Amino acid sequence: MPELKCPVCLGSVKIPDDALDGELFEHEECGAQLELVTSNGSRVLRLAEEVGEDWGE
Amino acid sequence: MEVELLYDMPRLEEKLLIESLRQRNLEVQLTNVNTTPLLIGEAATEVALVRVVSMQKAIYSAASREAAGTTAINSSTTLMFCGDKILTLSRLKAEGLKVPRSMVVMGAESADAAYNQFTKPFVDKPPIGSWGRLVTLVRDKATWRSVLEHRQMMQSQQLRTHVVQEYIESGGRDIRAIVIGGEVIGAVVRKSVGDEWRTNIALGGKTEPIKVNGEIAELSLRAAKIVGGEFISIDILEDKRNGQLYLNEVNGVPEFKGFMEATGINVADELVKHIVSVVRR
Repeated sequence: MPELKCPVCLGSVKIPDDALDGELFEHEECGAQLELVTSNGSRVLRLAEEVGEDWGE
Repeated sequence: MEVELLYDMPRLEEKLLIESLRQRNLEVQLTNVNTTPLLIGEAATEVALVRVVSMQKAIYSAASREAAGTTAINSSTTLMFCGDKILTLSRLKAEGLKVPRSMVVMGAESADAAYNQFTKPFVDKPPIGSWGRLVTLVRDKATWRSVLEHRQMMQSQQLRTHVVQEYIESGGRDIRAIVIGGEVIGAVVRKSVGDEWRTNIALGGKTEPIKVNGEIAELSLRAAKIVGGEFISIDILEDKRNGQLYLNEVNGVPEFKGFMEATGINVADELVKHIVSVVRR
């Protein structure tokens, strides 16, 4: 299970091996909502977008 | 056979679908629509499973694949009608289905007239969105004025538009049925919890399985046919005073965590079985 850096508190966040780009994670230590993305070939976490107005079912 | 799964924010549902597709020996092409450009008319696979949380992006994803002859589940037309409550209600009403009395309010000048024409409390919601967001039970004029003022501050025309709807006394519960390929696979009752009147799972609503009776089945199948839905969920309100059923909403990218927990039905696998049958037709 890889560990990535939280962009908010710089703490460590464990990510499941089968995680997909776009998946959301809550960092328990600081409460930040984070999105997994691939940037320049590396997987990183960024602060997730707030709920979009047209998000839903 | 290969199936493309288009997504933007993968949830448990998408992971279950990927697992079911692979278990049935189908190749899965994963496309994150936020990071992958979609060439209009480019066929990726025979079937595109659209699981995009953003309604607008879901419609565009389906349309761009349909341009190549790909079968999108759901189609762009279905997603468009399901994603906008005004379009859904209008379409269902036109086909004679019973829906809550609903009025479209598009300007502050018409708001007072709408207020005067509905028994209090009434429901106010924007035509787009889910999970109970911005859905308000309006009990008096002070609340109504606040709702109007807040919504008027929003940038989006759709969020400034109101669907004003009669409040059906359903006892804090609604019925959710799931239809796959012209068959009702099951239904649950969603119950609101505590002082929350909305039944959405996202707001803590609890689910219990119920038997699909003839009336629920007929309503659900008619709604699915009207919007052309291959995989949809249908929200039905039952008036506790007289037992009458009202079709309230139809969802084109249904979530099914709560439904699966309550019923034990493997929705992802039921959908994958349907996809296989679609390709073999």
